[in-house]
Amino acid sequence: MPESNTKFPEIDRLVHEPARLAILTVLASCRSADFLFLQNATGLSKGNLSVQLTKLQQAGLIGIEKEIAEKKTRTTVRLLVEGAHDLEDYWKKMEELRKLGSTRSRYRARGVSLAARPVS
Amino acid sequence: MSVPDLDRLQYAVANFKRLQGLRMAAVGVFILIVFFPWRRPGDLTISGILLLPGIAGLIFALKRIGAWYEARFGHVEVKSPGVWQTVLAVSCLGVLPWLLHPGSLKSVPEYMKGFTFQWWMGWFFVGVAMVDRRRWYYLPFGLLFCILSFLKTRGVELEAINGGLDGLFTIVLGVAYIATGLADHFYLLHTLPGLGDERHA
Repeated sequence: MPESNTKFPEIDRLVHEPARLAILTVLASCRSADFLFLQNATGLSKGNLSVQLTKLQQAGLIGIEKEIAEKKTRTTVRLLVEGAHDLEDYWKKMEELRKLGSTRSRYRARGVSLAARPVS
Repeated sequence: MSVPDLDRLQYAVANFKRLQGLRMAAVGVFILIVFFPWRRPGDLTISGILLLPGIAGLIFALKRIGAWYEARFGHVEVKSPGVWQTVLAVSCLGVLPWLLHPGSLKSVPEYMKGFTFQWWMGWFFVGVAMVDRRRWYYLPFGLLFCILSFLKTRGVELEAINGGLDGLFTIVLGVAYIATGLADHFYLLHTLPGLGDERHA
């Protein structure tokens, strides 16, 4: 790491993973979606989607319901309040990081040592 | 996995029903077949004959298209728009075009007569393009409808096409529905990556 004492916000790894982030984004944009729709929207394979959904369910971010419709099992997934909160929190932290990144770039462009800069 | 364009994905999911453009294209085909200005102005014989089978065909097509979208993309329950959004949409689509019509500038009775369907459709298409910036392709058709409406209020006649300005409007309306519907459809296809080879596995 460079000589900086700047504190970076801690990113939630569970949400940060691209596949899970895509799933949460889709679910945040609708009330609920079935497995096929999530597969279409994220482009994930059945196995991978299933694994990611289980992880998110275990973390309490999403709810999964299974029902039988026309002799087929339909898996419906919806975002829980906790999930919506975590996703919002994630984007806030990413925004903070982006701001920090642009501040660092400005200092670097001026040739100022980051260690010499007071911590905000 | 690479990170998808999340903004685009979010938009496509939230507007999933609206972007099912094949429905709109079917309506466009219906308009062109049933209301095409086949013969002399005012002669609606062919339209009259085609109307009932046309409506039946349209209902059948809309049902099949809905089933196809569900089979292709899966099921999603979209969020319903809020009360204020609905009020705004109704105001924009119903009241404002009436007030802003060129004919309304003269006097009240003229303003009542001057409201044309072309103007309303123009406002509708422009409105979609302005609210949903991603659906910019509605804009040219909206402007075209506004121009047709303006020409109509000025009493301009068009001899080259059966039905005059109204005939031209019918053709443009059908083409606009098909073109924007297909554009919406391809936007959806392009945004949702789909199942790839797994569907056939």
